[in-house]
Amino acid sequence: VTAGDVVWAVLAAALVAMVVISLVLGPSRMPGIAQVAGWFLRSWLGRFLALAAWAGAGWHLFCQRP
Amino acid sequence: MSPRNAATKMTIPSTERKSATDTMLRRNLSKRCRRPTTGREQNVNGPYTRRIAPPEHADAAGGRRTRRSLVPFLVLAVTGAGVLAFSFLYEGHRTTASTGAHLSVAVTVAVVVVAALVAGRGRQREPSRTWLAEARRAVSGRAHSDPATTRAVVAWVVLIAALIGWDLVSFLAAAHDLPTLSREIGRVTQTVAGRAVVFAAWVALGTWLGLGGRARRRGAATGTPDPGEVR
Repeated sequence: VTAGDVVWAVLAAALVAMVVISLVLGPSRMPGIAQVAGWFLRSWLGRFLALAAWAGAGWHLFCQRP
Repeated sequence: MSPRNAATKMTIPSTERKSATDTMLRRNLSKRCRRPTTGREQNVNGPYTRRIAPPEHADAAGGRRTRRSLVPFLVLAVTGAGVLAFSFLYEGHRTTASTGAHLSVAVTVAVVVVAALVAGRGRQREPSRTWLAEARRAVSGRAHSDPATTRAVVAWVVLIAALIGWDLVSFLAAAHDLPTLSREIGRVTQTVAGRAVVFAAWVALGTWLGLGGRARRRGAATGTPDPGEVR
């Protein structure tokens, strides 16, 4: 386990905590990741920005990295 | 006197009972009276014309709505099973350099983009210009939002900035002790099951980004246009 692994674990834990907090408090008090992503899906421009990021991530993960 | 005879005598006047026409009508009425009564029977045009009011839960629109709501669920279940099977039987066994991996990612992206264009035609909630103006107002701090939303947005922005920033630091350092995010995920996708699960999750995310968050099509369920519909 390297120092970088520890930092990534802390960031992943923070991400999970944010998701749990938003689920517990509800979208009106704490918008979750679905509400943030859903804001992008309101228009064609936002939707295609999100789809471009998704396609880029997929290409990078499944075609470039080991 | 049985309830059926009582209903017949109440609705047919005795002066007309002898005529042949009335006999025929009385037969019809007697047949109608054999139906089980529900308490919702009503006279519409007179004593000989009866209409059974449909039960509230069995109207045509409601029935169609019930059947229609099952179709997306079935499509989702079948598609999900297909994606899982493809992920575990095919994609999990590919390597990053293989032509099959490139082809499956390219085909998935093409299918999702085409599905987004076809399914989303006329169903975006806002025009892009309005959405862009709203984004500009949010970035410049001129958007009217409640404190809870502002706190949430700040928290998410800080977290996402930390993720991107640390990934950038790790990438620029190019050290063994500081792996990038893709290298961390690469440890998972090196295995067949890990690659299959991550691929299936990626397809599910793309499907939601392509098809989710749509406005309801005009007149689909209520017959009234969705106020947020953009054609």
